[in-house]
Amino acid sequence: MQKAPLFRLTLFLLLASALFSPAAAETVDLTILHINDFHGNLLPKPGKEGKPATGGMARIAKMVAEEREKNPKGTILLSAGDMFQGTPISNLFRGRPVIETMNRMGFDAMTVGNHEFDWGMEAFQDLRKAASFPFLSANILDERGALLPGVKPYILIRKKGLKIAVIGITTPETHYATKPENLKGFRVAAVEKVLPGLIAKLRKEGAGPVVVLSHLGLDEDRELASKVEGIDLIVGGHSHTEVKTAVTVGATRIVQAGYYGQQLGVLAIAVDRESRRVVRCPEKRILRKVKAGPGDPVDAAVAAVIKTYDDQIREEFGRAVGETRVDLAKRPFESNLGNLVCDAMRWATGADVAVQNNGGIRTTLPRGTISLEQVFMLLPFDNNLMTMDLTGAQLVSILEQNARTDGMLQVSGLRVVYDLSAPEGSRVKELAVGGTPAEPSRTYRVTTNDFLAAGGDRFGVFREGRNAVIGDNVRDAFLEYLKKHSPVSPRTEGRIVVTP
Amino acid sequence: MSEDRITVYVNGRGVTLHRGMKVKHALIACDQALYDAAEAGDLAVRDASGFDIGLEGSLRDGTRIFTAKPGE
Repeated sequence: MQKAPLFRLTLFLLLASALFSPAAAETVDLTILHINDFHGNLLPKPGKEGKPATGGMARIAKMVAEEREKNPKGTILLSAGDMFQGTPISNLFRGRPVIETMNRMGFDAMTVGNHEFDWGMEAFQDLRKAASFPFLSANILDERGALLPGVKPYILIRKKGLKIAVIGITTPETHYATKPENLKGFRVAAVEKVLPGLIAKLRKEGAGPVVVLSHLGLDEDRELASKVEGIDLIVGGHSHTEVKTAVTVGATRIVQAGYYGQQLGVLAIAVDRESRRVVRCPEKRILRKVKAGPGDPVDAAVAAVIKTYDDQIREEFGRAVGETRVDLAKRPFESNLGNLVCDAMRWATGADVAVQNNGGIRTTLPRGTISLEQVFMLLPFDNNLMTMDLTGAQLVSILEQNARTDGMLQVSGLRVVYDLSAPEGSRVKELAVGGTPAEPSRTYRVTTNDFLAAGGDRFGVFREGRNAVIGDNVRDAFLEYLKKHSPVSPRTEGRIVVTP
Repeated sequence: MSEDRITVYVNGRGVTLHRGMKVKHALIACDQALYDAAEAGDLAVRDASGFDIGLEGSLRDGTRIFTAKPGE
């Protein structure tokens, strides 16, 4: 009877020693640093009401360096895409300042986001070639199934004896979320068709943990984790979500660090050396707010790169981008400035009609040279062109709403005659498109901006349009038009006639 | 969902948008005042899990978003 407790104790000690011996339970500490949807926000965002500034790449770089010091051999730095488009300092130099700062910070990889194509394939490839780290996307394929030139499906990062697999994934919505021509000849394949085979291959080759660097959006990441096995971690982007508590789906953790570099994702994980799976992952305190007040140190080298480009902006803004032979004025119903903007929009897309709201045109321009700064003041909003099918009846409905809102729309490609003494809803007396009377049931291709396309200023009919495609930034389209057509001399010419 | 449009829900109210549109478009479509307030930083926008999301964030068919006072 005395032997049984002793036997149990011995067995327990043996099992415990097996379970906790270094060989059986050796773990490797890794730190994953990540940002996403940075959109060119190199400069800090000023704080409101006396609060300190936030964000800015020089401050992020310093925070990254501080985190690296804590785990110098086990830290990786990732971007989940959409890094370049969105601010003057990045847009004016086609993303170059962002790439230069990322190179200096030692990014390990970046996944390709939909907005990486906003300036066309050539600009995308220029950025890729300028990067000292790989651009990843395993699911952008051409008709033969080949990847985008120069883009890798994954990278293996060797840290502390592990081969960490980082696989890039791009949203299949890219064709809807950026100008479709910019990705002509390529399709974005469904992730569940691409990933299982790739993950199995990488695991077989001894890689792990497996990190999917995703530009899909948080809901899609959840779906991915539930459908595809073998993913340890999804570092996400696209939905601009501040994932403050790691999302767990099965054995997969999902994180995302908001947007515009306002947060740095910091994930300290433990990986089992034997299974190469993540065995410990914090749930909370995984985002660090990027505070950029006067007492917050910055990385001097990255700050210097940003300053170089920031100084050039002033010079760039003074650059002549066109010329007008007449004063350009705006007013309700028709104006020569509104005509010019709408002509540029219609020229950019080749649509039958273009429509722009007066509220999106913010200043007037005197006769003479037009500078880049004046164009930014004229069209300050980062609106995109949206082109869609609308029927003649829907156009009439939009123009009736225009009469209710005191003529806030400017137009190109159509002529409308109003009788403002008529009851609401029957004030459009004549409508011609391309010089021919509009037919209520006929479909016309109409370009507007994304604000109106979403039903802004109560123009909800635009939301009923079909086959909508996104286009260039309205300001970029206007600049291109000025470049090709200057000097311009637009006039009011009876596009919108108001009686009595 | 038709191929080229999505329906999303803002504070429970369904709005139809062109596919590829973002959080800001959903707010504009629902009530432009919501967009103006969010843009000014007077309103936070959250997803169904309560995470803060940006105005340029992506949407998909069926997404539910909510507005609230920042910090609430």
